[in-house]
Amino acid sequence: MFPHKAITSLLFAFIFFPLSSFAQNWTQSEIEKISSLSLKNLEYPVDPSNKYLNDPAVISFGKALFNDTRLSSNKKISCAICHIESSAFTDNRNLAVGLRQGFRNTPSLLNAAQHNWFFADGAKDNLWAQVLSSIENPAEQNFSRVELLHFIASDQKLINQYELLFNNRFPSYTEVDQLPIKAGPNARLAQLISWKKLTKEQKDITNRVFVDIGKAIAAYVSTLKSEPIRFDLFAEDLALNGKSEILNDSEQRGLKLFIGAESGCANCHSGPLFSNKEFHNIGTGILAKDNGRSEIIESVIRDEFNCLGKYSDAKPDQCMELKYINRNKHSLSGAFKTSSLRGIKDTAPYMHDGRYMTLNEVMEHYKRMSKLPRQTDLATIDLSKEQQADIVNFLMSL
Amino acid sequence: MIKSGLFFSMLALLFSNTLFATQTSAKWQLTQLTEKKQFEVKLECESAPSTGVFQNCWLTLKHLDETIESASVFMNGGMPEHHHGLPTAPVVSWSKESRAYIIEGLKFSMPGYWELNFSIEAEELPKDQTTFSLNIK
Repeated sequence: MFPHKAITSLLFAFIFFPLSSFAQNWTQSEIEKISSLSLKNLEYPVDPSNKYLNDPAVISFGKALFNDTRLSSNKKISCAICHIESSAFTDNRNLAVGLRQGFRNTPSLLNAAQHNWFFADGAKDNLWAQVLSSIENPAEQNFSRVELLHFIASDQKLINQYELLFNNRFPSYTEVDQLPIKAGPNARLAQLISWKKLTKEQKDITNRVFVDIGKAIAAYVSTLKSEPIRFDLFAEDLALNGKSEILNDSEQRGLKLFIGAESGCANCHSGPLFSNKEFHNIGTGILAKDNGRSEIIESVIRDEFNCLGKYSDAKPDQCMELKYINRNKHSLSGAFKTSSLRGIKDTAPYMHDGRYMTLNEVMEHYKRMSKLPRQTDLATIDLSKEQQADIVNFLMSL
Repeated sequence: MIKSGLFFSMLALLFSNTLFATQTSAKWQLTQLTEKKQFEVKLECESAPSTGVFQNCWLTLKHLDETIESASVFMNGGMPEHHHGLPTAPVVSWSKESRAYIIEGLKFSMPGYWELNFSIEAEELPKDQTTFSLNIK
């Protein structure tokens, strides 16, 4: 048996060794850079503003609400309608469609909790505030916070569950009955007027329940994470052996370009998320329509649901991002959050407004930088067609 | 009397330990003169500046070998090659405990060449400034 095994091994080596000669040479510095992109560096999400983040019962409740279409004005839209599990929690549309079409592409929710800012322009500084914004947004679920209170009040089982999970008294029937059917500060005019007529106490009891629901859904979303992919196995193999064949020749050439100075991709697409989680102007903002970060600075500072607000569970010194927020609108004009590239093959179309269907178009965008009408944070990334193809092949391996 | 002497000795020891801890915890530093040569500015950090996390850095100022404690220091920074500033708006303030100007909220968003500018206003001295160049890996 042994000779037979040896012959088989030799044949295997002769047949496959020449084919596997595509292993690139990597410097120690490159290996370290590649290792820094590995999923093993991803830490467990931390959000001091949400004390329910690690509560299994609240997470389970949040998951049910995430999938519940009753949290919408037409009873047809839930979070899960746009964030489809089988599509990496996105919808593969150019622009999200809830109650009506919005103006942004639906981001994947995988690893969403790892970010410091939420929405493409970072309009929210925590995940639960983002959830609540989508529930109330007339283009998304169009479900005002007072409607949400009535929804829970209509079901004694939900009331019991709420009180048990949040250790918080649900408003009495008398208190709920005194509220209008629909009202919220982010709703259409009639509902906004109704909201403004409420007393401070009525607003507060409504907000308390609304925030708890947001924190429950955010706790569930925080559990959505990427699984290790071929790139992670490659990074591990490379760190151990100094070379690896887990990525093919083109993918490895693409990776070398990706982390190198010629493309500069990894300057912003860094860390295990392939995102530095910051805001950059790459020429995709549109003045007077959707100009990114500069347009929301004031609102995020004033947001009653931010990390420093009274509904947050964080101590002020845990709100570093908000405390030291860059208020320079001029420097943030046209800036959007660096997208995570993990799972990018499943999350087309691309850019904050889904303007590009393919990664080839994205590569062409970066090649046209110097021809764009506005100054950007980036110079032209002038790569050949072959180099672009290698980077795209690498990205499709993520 | 003995008790109060002991108390003040302990306080002094505690204070000197705090100062000692601050001075020795600096793993990275740069020192340079301001443009008008009014101040010698030492920028120190707990570790070499890196990307993605808030930095623990502080400044000390000297004028004619004397430490300046009452200055107003404003900072700014960015990557000139990338046409963008710092991702955050850091604040510089004098700390009696550390006997240094603590920089809070400083972060770098990407590796490469960065500039940090410090504008200094101290009583009875002309306003001055200096720009540190950093190459962050």
